[in-house]
Amino acid sequence: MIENTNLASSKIIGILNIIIGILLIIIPWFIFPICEYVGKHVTTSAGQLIPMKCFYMARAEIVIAIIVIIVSLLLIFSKHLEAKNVLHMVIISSAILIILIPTTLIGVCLNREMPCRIGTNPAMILLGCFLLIINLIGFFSTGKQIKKT
Amino acid sequence: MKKIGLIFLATQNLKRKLLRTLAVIICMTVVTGTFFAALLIMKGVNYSLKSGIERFGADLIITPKGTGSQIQQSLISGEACTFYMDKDIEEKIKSIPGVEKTSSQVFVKSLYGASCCSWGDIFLVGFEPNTDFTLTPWLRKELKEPLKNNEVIIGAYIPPVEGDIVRFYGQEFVVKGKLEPTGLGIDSTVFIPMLGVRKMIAESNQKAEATLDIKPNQMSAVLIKTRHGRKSWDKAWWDMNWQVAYEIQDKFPDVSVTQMGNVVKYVKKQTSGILKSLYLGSGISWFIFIILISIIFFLVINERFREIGLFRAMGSTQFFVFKLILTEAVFATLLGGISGVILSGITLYSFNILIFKSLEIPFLWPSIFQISIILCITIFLAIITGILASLYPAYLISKMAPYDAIRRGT
Repeated sequence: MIENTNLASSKIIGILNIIIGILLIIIPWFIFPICEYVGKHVTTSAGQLIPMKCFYMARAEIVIAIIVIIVSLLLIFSKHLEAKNVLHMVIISSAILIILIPTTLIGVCLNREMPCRIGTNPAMILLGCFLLIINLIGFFSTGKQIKKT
Repeated sequence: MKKIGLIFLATQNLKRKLLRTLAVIICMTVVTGTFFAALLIMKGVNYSLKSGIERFGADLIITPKGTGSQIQQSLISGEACTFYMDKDIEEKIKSIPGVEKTSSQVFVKSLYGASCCSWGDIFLVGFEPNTDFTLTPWLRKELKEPLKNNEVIIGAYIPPVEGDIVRFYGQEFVVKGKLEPTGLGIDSTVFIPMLGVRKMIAESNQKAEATLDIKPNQMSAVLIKTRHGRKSWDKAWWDMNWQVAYEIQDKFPDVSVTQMGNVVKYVKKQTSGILKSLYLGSGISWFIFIILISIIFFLVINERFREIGLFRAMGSTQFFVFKLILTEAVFATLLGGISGVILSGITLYSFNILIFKSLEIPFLWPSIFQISIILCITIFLAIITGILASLYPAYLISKMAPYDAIRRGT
């Protein structure tokens, strides 16, 4: 195993990942709330109130965000370059999932003016893109360091 | 061996003092980001007004008394409003001199979260296909045959496409046409032929989760086209609209008359406040940051007297030193400019509906050509800032004799 000599950059990336993870958890409930949170539901013909697509999307994003936070903590405390590389790959896959969940896998409400479409959805996609970019940078820089050593 | 040129030296110097370079980049990101957003909003609002309200065939809208602001809001944001008045008024209005065409409409709001409606809180407008003169300019494709009672025309932001079936109050309608985007409330409105709406109202007690209480002799608005032989938006058009509006208001005190010209004025007033604060913010920050970047470059040259002196002693001309400082500044501000444009563009693109809905102004993305022009202006501003901020420090250090510079640097 090759020990990392430059820990600062992966620590910064790890901290940024954790901030993004926390934002992914709080955005659908507090910053750009999903439809459920502003009292919008679907009523079935039997008169029952059921949550909409965006509710399940937010739940799925929380699970991924928790994974991102745990993996980022490992990234901060890990000392081996190969391990860091693998952890970056895990976060890259999570970032792709974060983007795919509101766009294709689960999606959000169809109406363009619903709260989840105008706030939650773009915020999730932007955070996912940001997470993807910084971890790609981390992945390639650790890859470079592995090659050098 | 790598050739050491102006660009190489400038980039190396910027890399060497990364924090200072980042400070300049962040300053410029703030200025150009705000400036780019202000220009884009101005263009977008004007474009929306041009392709929206100014293309709207109606000059006046008659609604029940006290509902003028509601219809204005609906036109801008598409928020459904429901009010009703007696249908007879349309015939009476037709007799007023200056009125060329009239067409009546009925407004209904779809039920939220109800299984009988495809979408909730949608503005449903029942219109008279035979007399309507407002929808045709916005149709993406001209309709080959007249609209049937179970066919609808939908705004650009409503998800279904032509041929899809939508359901409102238990009635099924086929989407026959889609309107071009306008940035106005029309984008989120569904237009249903009057007979179709009347059927939907009549059968709502059996098919829908809530009954619509709209009588057959009731309607919500009368759209009026005034008789003005000349082009819209000129003085004659304004005069004619004022005259007809005054006469209607005088004869029928129980109605509200909304002039389309006033809606445009209202939007422009609303927008000008936002634009003023954006321009003022970017102007003040631009002025402060020019001084700040200037100070940063004074600090830079103070640290580099020795280096510049050695350059000069090795044969660099005064102009080369001048260019070097200027290039460094322009590179840093250019990077800031590019990041400002990207950040501002991404934020506006991602949250445009949220932003403009909360600001209550219409917005339509300008053409690629117009966006490119705005982008060039913003980048030019970033470059000019770099040049202005570093001009004096660059002049000072380039004028210094090599010996003096080396001595001051030690």
